[in-house]
Amino acid sequence: MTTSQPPVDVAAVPPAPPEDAPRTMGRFNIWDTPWFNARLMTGVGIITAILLMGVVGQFFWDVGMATERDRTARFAPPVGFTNFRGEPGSWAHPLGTNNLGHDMLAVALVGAPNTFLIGFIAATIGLGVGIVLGFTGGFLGGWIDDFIRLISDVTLTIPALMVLIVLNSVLDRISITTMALIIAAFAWPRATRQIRSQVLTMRESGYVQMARLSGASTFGIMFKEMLPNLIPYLFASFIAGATGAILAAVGLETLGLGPQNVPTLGGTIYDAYRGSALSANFWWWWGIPTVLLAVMFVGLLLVNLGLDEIANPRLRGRK
Amino acid sequence: MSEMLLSIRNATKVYTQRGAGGSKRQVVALQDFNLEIAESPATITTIAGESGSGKSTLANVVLGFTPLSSGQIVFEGTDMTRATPSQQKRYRREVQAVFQDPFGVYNPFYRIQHVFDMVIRNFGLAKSKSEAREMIEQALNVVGLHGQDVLRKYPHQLSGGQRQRIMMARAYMVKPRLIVADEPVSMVDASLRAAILDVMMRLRDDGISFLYITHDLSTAYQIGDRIFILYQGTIAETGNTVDVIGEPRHPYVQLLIDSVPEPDPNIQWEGTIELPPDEEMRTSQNSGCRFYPRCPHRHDRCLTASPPLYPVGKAGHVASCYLYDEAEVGAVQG
Amino acid sequence: MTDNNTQNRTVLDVKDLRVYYETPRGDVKAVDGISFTLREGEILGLVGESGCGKSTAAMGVLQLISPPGRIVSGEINLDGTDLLGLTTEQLRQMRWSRLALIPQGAMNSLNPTMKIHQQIADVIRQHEKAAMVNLASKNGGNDDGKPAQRMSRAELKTRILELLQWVGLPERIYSMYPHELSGGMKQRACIAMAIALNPSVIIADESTSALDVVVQRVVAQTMLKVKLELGVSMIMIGHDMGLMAQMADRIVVMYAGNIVEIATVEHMFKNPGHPYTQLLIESVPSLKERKPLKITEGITHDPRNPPPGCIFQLRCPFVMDRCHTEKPLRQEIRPGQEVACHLYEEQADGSYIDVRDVVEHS
Repeated sequence: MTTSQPPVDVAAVPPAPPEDAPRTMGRFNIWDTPWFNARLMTGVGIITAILLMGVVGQFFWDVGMATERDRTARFAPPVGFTNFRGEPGSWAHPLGTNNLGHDMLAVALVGAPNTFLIGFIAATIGLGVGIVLGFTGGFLGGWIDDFIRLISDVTLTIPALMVLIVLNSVLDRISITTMALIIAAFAWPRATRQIRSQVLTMRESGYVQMARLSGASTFGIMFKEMLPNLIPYLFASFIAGATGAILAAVGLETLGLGPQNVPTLGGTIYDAYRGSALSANFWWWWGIPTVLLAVMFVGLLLVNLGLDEIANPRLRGRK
Repeated sequence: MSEMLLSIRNATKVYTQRGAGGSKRQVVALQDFNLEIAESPATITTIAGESGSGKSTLANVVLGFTPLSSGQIVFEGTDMTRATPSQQKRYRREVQAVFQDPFGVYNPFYRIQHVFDMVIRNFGLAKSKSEAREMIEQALNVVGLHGQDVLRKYPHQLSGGQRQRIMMARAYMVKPRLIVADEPVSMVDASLRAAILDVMMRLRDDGISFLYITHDLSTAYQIGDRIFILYQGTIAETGNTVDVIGEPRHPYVQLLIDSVPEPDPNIQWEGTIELPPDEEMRTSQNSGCRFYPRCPHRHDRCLTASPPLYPVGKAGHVASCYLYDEAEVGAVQG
Repeated sequence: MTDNNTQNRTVLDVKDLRVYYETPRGDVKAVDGISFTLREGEILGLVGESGCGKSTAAMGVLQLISPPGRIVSGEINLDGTDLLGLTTEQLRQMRWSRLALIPQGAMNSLNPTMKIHQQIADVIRQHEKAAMVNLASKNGGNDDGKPAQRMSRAELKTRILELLQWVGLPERIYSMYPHELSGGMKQRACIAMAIALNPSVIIADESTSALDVVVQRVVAQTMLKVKLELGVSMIMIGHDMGLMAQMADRIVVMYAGNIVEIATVEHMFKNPGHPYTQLLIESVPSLKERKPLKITEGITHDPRNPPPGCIFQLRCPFVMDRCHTEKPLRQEIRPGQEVACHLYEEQADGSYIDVRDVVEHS
């Protein structure tokens, strides 16, 4: 005891009244107050809005315009602005067009969800691998665990971006799925390690011992006893993974190494750069994707913070 | 003499620890431990001792969580150290446990119902949902609870006492031959302990034997039929609970019972005692009597070998102390 | 434990302390108006079942209640100083130097990365200034003749070694880490920290609950030594009535945030007054005789909504109509015993009778 502060929880937590008092995570009850915290809700709202854009947007706007060229309106500025040629923006292309006449609104409607998609697919694959390997290593221990740890630690040390650049430049045509797979190849070690350490902790818990005494099989224990308690944790890991994957994806796209067949935000920025949009003041070309990306990351960050609040009661607004 | 339910013979458990500087240290947690629990009548056998006595090791060994270094555990005639998988499965059903921490044993994700469903499913205890429900209700009634009050709740919504009773109900429902209760009341509030101890006695009356592991002599005195007092992995004294606690013979046991604070302000501890400054390092298996450094009656013979159990009074009451070796000239009579 | 403390002055005076915890469905009344005094040189036991508020009361005295808990009202007077009127800084100076705490699980709160001597030194250094004011005001200084200025390193080391020896720990503990010590040793190290600055009051919360019986005895005897030789007044919080019988001079019994009885230890065990106290005493297991087990429930009402009238009415075997409406005041039914129960009625001559006796005899 180096200060006179006692451990906070010892005296500060009152006895649980004999009523419903939702307390910790691990119980998947969405009516718990912590799940409705402001950050999480805002973040989820932002992400949902952007994803919806892509799904619903195509009914209201011709997203074909993202890839069709409108030769009549090239370099058109957004509504309310004029471009270097003095042409005003029109409602036909409310967010302007690029050098080839692609409509920026359409690009946004298609590109933003695409970028999210890459992130989510990569994160899902990474998490899936992480669950399998993390559980196997953590629960079984021994040489299996040593082996899994070895390969995940080695993969972590490989400079991912460099390899991704090389891979992408070598491969001819990259689809979204291919991108996601390649990124996932470097995302799985982190998830594996995190899940493994959680499993190691849970393995020693009383309820796992109890499950063994109750005749549960190894798989039974892993999936029925341990996995449900990991759900919030897995969520957080997924979001973190997705954020990282999107970052990697955008990075690659901006270097021109992203999927060619579909519009992506990063890819648009790359095109803008190639098309001298920076010097020629076509700010809407690179600006709109950038703003969208910023909003997306804010959304992901908020979700992360919101999940943090759930996991750690001391961060909650009230306490 | 009826057949033995559980027979532990010469059980020894040695742990290898890595000491400072890479040196390896052997810690003898249990040494040549012997115990027998008869098939019938059902009894509550108390294993009492302080920390480091080996009682937790014994629990782990009996429950099959860790193997013995040497010795045997014979359950209803079967040597468990050499059991087949199906024999091991049967053992799991026949030997259940209740643990110390009434909260950690519950998976916080599930409602109370889950702990019952798990055993019913894995051991095939019921053929239909209604049969299962009946079983659970009956088991809960035995411990003084009702299904409608507790099954739908989450663990943190119940008190420690209730949670432990539910664990007892769960163990009972399996209808085991033996329940290992490892400090079942030490983490439960003092006023709620009686209910749990009462359940144990009633289950015993119903034919289930208990291995009650504790450091609390008072509760052992209230409910135990026989008691083993361990000191650093060996048996210091054993016999009927009333005999051992009423008339302790082993110097360690005398010290122990003397140190239990009596709830009477007129009966105070006499004298002060010193604790050994060093933690005992149980590094070898035969270093003589373990209590030697602290024993007021020690002499050289005690260093030669660990004393065997000598009879010290009523039938079955034995203590591991050379003071009671009748062959020794001038030995104290039991 | 003979009691000749009746003439001693009061060091700690708590009046009507209330500590509530905010929850979404109303305030949990953890401590609901308790008043007691601690006399110089005595050990006051504070007992009650889990949830009765004893730890919260201790934290309240030390003002270590953090949100969602808060001190709603009350007066806490330590040796003439009103603790509730102090600033945070002044309070901090008070702690350890005049009022020390050995919290629950103290031995587990030792910093695992610091050696023992560093932790004790830390406490001394942080609160030295206040301690010096404290020492200067005590008559004739103390028994180790500390100079009234900041201690040099050598003096600090001497003091720490002295403290360790005093609690019965060997010298080599000085440079050891907490994990190298056994439970009993850690607890005694915590006691050493608590007495380091010669406080007037020490509050010990469940100091021996996690220890083995023999070790518990040694630690308890150390604490008795603290009381007898250093004259420190102590509040001992616990639930082991056997231990209380050995250590306490007077005992306060709490139930659901209220004090139901305060009695000397003799009265407590020979003639417990309050029905709850009687329940408590009856359920204490002893090693002398086997009794049938007395089964009780826990606190049965919702702590957010205590029943009007007597707090114990829902569990009391002697409940009367009056108990449902009128909250009983604490009455001194005999010298050295105060009970808050309607069963005791004051007579014209000032003595008290137990209503149950009257009923039996009529």
